[in-house]
Amino acid sequence: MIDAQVKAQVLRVLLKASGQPIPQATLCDALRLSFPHVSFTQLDLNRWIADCEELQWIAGTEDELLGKIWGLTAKGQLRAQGLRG
Amino acid sequence: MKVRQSKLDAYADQLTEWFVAEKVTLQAAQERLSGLGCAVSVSRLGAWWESQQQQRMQDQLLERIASGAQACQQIEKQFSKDAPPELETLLKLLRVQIMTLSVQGQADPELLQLAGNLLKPIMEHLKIEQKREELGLAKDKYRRETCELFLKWRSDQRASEIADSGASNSEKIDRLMQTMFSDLQ
Repeated sequence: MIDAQVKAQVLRVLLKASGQPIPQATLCDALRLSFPHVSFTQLDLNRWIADCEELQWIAGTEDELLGKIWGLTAKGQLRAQGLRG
Repeated sequence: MKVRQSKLDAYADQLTEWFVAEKVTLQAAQERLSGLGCAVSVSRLGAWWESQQQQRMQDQLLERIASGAQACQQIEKQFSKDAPPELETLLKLLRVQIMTLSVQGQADPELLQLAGNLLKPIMEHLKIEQKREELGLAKDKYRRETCELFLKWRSDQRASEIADSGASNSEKIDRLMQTMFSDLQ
């Protein structure tokens, strides 16, 4: 259950960012703040983000200055727009 | 987060008022609801309120991200046109910082505006530098072209002298070849 909720939140966060690149650490912060009652480990968060990438909803690029940065793919954008809330 | 439909949703505004403004306990809220004809257990009311709060937090977070993205877009609009390459890195860093602060709820719109304004003199300075560089290149080009024109004039003049000389044709041809194509030999 939480698995689907976190992945949906990854999509919502990146959709709201309107194409602005979001570094990995910032994305993890956003997820932690979205579920304050759950104490996620960094590994959990990395895994969910990697799952989203595997589903081709999000794409990450390595920036030499900012580290890994994330954005929605076209597929992810459609998926995110279909989410409620 | 998807919130399940609940009969308490109909009382959402009232419950928010009770819990946030009046800071009533779950027990007191349950009694008030009962008075309005809505029977609910304290634990269910507690779970509903928790999910409402979580939804609100998520909504606020997403709103902050949206306004951070908007601030980034304004900065892009303001600076990305004609931005010297040196500024690109600063712009990228600033945009990412804005998004990070927005997520953390620490992005003060006035400070964001100020940060954007601070880039203006940097941009102006870099533009002046760029123009200075372009001017230097133009000067070099002008000097080179002038020298080339002089060399051409000089070689034309020498060719005329050879042509007007009293030498034989074959001699003139030899001397002209030496003059015109000396750099190719």
